[in-house]
Amino acid sequence: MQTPGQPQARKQIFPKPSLRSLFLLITGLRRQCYVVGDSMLPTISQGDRVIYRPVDPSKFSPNQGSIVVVKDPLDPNSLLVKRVYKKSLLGLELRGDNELNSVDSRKFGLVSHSSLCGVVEQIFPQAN
Amino acid sequence: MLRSALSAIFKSLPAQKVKAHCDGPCGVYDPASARVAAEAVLSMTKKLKEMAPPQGNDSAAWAAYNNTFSRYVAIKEDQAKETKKELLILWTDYFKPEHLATYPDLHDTFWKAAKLCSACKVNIDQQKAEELMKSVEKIHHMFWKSKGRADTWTTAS
Repeated sequence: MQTPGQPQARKQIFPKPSLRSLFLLITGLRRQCYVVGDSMLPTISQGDRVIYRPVDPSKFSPNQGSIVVVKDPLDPNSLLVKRVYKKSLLGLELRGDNELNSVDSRKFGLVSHSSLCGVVEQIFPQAN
Repeated sequence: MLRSALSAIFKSLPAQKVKAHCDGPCGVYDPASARVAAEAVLSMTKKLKEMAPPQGNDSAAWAAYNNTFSRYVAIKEDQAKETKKELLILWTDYFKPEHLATYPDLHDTFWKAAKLCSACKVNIDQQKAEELMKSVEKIHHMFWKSKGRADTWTTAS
């Protein structure tokens, strides 16, 4: 059984760039972001690129443990990347993997489902 | 070859910024917070050692004694945890593998300092609290030297 916020051991989340992912990106079926901040260490480092699948929050609920992109509750004009620690009817409890150094639901509380923008599918480390 | 080309194309495509908020403005670290917490641990340890239980069976005096003793212990334990947290942030977030070349004993220093935090939390041991202060001072010098600065070590108490 998965414990709350348990990081996923998914090697396929760190793939090499492929023609398929490029096609999905160009056609708008996936979106690309670059990460600023250290709160998702060791999974995501500053400068890494993440590919996320945009979702309709009214029709989609992320799995516990998924890494998601949401509208930042502290600054709605920007996006935030965190991991789903727990789900409830009231919203998503988000945490950074770097728990000692992360501003997340422990500070800003639950994030409403409507703030969900997408689910991270791939991470391209800066060095690649 | 194909991978490199694809990687270059990916990097050339527009990408929106997404934040992974950390505790403070990213890149702002200071061992001062660990020093203040460690000083509180030492101060509380000294105060606990200086406390003398009341003579006789005066219940009010015993209540006051127990209350003060408990408060000092609670603060000592809380500040020991805080010291450990602050040190771990410096260790895991600020210091990078390249710092190991300059400070080969970096991991050992932090590991021992974290152990001292635990020892100070569970015991009333002035010697350990003083050792913790020395470890925090060593980390203070390592930190500022790594930034090319030589901040003097000053304590609040």
